[in-house]
Amino acid sequence: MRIAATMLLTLFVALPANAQAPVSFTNEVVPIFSKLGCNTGGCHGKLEGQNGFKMSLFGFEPAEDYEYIVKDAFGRRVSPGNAESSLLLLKATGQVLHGGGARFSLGSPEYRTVLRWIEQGAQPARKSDPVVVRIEVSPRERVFTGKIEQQQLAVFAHFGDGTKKDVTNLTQFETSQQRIAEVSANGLVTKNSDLGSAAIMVRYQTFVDVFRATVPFGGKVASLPPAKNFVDKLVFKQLETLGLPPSDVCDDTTFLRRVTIDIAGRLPTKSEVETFLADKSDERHDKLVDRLLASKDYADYFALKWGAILRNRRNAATDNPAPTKAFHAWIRDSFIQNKPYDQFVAEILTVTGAEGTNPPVVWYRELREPAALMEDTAQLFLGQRLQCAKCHHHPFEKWTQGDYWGLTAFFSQTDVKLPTPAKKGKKGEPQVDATKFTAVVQKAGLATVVHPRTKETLHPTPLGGQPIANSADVDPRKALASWLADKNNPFFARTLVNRYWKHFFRRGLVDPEDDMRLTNPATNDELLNALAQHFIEHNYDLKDLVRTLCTSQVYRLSSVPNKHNTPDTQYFSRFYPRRLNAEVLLDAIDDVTLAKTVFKGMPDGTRAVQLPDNQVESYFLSVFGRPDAASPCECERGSDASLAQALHLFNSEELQEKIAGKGSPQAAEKQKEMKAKKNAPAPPGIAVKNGGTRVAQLVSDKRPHEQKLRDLYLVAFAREPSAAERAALLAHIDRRPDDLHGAYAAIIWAILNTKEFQYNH
Amino acid sequence: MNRREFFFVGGAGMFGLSMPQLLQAQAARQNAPARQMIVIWLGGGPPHQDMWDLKPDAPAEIRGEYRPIDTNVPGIRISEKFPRLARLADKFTLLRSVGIGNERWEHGGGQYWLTGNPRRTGVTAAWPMYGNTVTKLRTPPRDVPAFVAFGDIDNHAYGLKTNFFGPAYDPIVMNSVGDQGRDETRDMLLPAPGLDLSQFERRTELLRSLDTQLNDIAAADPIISGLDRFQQTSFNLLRSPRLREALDLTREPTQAAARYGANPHGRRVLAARRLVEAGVPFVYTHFESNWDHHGQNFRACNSKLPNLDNAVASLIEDLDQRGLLRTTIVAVLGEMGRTPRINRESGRDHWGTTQSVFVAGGGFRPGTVVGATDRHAAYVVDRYYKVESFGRTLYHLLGIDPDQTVHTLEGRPMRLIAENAPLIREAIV
Repeated sequence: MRIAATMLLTLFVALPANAQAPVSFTNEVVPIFSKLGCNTGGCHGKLEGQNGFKMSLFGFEPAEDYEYIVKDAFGRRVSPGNAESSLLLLKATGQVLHGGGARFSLGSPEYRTVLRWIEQGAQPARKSDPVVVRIEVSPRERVFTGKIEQQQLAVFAHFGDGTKKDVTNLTQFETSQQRIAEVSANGLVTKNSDLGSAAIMVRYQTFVDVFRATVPFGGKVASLPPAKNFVDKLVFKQLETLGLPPSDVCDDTTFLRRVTIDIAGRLPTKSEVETFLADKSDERHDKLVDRLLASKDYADYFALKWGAILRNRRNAATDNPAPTKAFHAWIRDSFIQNKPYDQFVAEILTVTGAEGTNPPVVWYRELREPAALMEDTAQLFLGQRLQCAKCHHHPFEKWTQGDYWGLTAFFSQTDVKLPTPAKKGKKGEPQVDATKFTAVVQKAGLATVVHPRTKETLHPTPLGGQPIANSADVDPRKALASWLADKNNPFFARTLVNRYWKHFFRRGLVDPEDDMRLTNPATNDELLNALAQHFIEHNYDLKDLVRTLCTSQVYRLSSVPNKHNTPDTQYFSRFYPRRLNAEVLLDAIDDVTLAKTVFKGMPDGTRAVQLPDNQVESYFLSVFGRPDAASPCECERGSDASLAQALHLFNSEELQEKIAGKGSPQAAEKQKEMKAKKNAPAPPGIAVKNGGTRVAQLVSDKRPHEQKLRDLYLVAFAREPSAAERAALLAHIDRRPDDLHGAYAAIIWAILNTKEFQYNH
Repeated sequence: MNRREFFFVGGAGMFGLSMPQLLQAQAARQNAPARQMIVIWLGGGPPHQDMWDLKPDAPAEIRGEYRPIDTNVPGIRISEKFPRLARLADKFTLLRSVGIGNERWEHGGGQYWLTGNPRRTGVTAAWPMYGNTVTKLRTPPRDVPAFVAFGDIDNHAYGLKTNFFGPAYDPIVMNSVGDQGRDETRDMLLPAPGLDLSQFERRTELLRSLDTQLNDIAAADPIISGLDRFQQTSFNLLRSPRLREALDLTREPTQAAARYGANPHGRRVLAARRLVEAGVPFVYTHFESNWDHHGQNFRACNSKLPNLDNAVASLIEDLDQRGLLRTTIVAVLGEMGRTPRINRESGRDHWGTTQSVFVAGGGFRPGTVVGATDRHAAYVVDRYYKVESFGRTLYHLLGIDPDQTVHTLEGRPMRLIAENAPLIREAIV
């Protein structure tokens, strides 16, 4: 039997209002078309409408809808004198052939509302109509414990005149996780088969709110590791509420490999493993984190991460690499200095001058237009995807077109001058010299933009704030940077700590990490706020933030699930493994095989994580999902597996050569074959490479195999082989006493193809 | 563990598709006529009026140098440069009234035509190509890849190398086939030199015994199970001779191969046929790399059109003879047409308004011409269909619902083909 939590609320169904009361076009009629899906982007809501009938997207522009419905098509859609035969009603009820079928039935509450509105003369919005100022869903959340399986939602609109009205039957509902909780058109939420938390978005007119449905895991949290900091306290508190016992704390070697990859972007060396295992002090984990943060490897790895989302890119390998190299060096240097994050962002946003000497100009060069600059600023630094609001009200947020263009105005006087070739002067005019570099110039004059719909002049305005004191003498980008760094800014610190949380825990507290809209709430809001507060109080200290995350017990939880937490993908009750990034994987393969990948145009010894931009050629990196740095989203970096990747690690010439090495029988045969092919040149896009020397070293090493295998495991997995593994490996070597080279080559091949190697776990 | 066990190990159950998705896809497919598809891409924009839609009565500066010839279907006439195809008109379909409908796309139209959506790099969502979609929504074959591409996938269609499905559904790309050049991908299909197959199988057994970590969460993690699945397919590819043999053109009788033309483009089309025979669902190849004839159009066509005639006619004949044409779509197209008026350089310029598309097999109605252009092959006068109609018709024939919602990497829901447009009913059986 299903038990609704609050039966009372189900009684709020559409009661026909007083038949004499005027029907409000904005508050009652348009929401019906939104609710029934008539004005979506796939139907009448799209730019050109559907079969000659257009509506504004999601009913966001009722004034325009009035024109479309009442005035267009010679007014044949509504017939006040003969309301029932209005085309609008005939189509919507399917009495006349309608591509979208019947959307409501004759006599339904929706039908009666529209009918009454037409009978009353199909009036436009009246000045006297109450104006909605916000909506509110009730209740705001529900944990589905015990036998409770359903929850009816009620949605109230609050009007400017202080009144409040139930608009549940005019509200749209949408679940974020169908498999956790479903929601009916009337707002009845029903729990589904999966466990965890789902956000239910509610929308009425341009207003949204969110309800959170949580289905607990039903386990008992009997014991928890001792909390080391506030991260632990807040994660464990939530796990207890959810009945989600965490996995055990991982062993030291797992932690060492995990944290070295996450902070330094590389595998730990053999001596690092041995030193760490020998350290028995209680502070060894914290000391390790500090040592990694002090290393140049940390700066390399985070420069790689930030370079991609700051669009440090070239279009082609033939383009001048100097500007992107300079920007890469600048980013890397910022991490070495541990430049406070607010300063790092301010220096990018307010840059002027030529690229190369003013490295962040590359970011402007790639974006150029004020609107594009604003969109990246919003997504990257504020976690807000405003793209939708360029042309219409944001469908899942409160942002309007006015917000979009008000924020854009900060960049409206910033000019990106591209290089120009020399031009011969026209008759009597001097020659125009070539410019070689892109430059950012702040133009004279007041920064404003014109609202494309209302034609109103907009001054630079922070999101959700008031226009700044605008002056032609002051670069408004400075005001933008100060607003970001203001400790009351509701987006800036939250966005960064969430981005870093995702870096270390695979999933953001809000995910996707740069879509922190109202209707995509955090899985642990208290934690997100605490992290943001901590980050602000510590003056945007990035190393401190990494330290806070990596020295927590939560970060040390094992990736091996227990009986209850396999289904958990949102609450961090276990460590979620992730594939090594393309660059880290290539370096790791080089470490294991002792091969050296040589990158065209880069100094010898450059590792893949140190590459400055997207255009240093490498077939391996392209196949394994290196980002093109063409968007502010980290999702551009491919983390999916693919057939080409598997095949590459299984059987590519590049891998075979790294494993077997030069001078091996395999390589000799390959060379013979190459000669036979008349030294056909290698296809483009493949990095120049050298064979690895690991196998040769293992073969000539006179120590017992057990010791050599132990060393190999320390390098690849940062652990010793288990007894079973050792036995399997020794048996493998014993089977081919005459081909030790082949035996070790096979072992390395197998190691590189294990999940344990390819994953950070 | 024995060999047989190894072949069937691997975490992923349903190949990454959810159960309802899979059932839905299967249901739609049962009645779908097309199971496979070959795209022959004429990047740069081929001159429709010199190939498929000739206007012999137009003034010389429009009609150009070629005369139309009769085909084996009364009333259908094509360029005199296509004598072999002229004997096969009862096997193919010409769409003469398709186009983007404006001149705002130029070469960018390649993205539009190959995805069925008005896709612009960095501006709109990055819709997948038909081949990516087939790879994602269909159960993949066991020992051949789902999607093979010869040469640059974004030939005159910059940006097509990535799409919002992510790299898991990308094609296996080969730069050359059946000629002297090396190819990194093709080389991967052969066991490494000095490493015979039995040694390779021993290696994989060793791998199984070492690869014991993370298995307990593989079922819950699509990326981890994906890795297992692709390793499995890689192993199958290496173990099974099917793909290797399909790509080994020396196995083709010399006479038969010669019919495709002794040039790399003809060889790719031959390889495409062999891949389809081996069960590869989707093959893309570009044919000649530059159809952008702003100058010397006829000199270029004098060499390209006979090659195209030989390759496409041989392909149609062979697929038909093997009974595969019924279930295999062949599409020959570029990103736009060319201007009616020949310019001072004897070239034709960009014309996105109208073009012609050649299709055959897989449920297209053979021996048919759809639509017509005016007397200068400039504007459609009968049955205009935009690109979306073409894309929807392809998906329809392949049993894929073009209205289904798919998700971008960022999680944004998108319709597979965003715009509504009618199917090209006249073109299908």
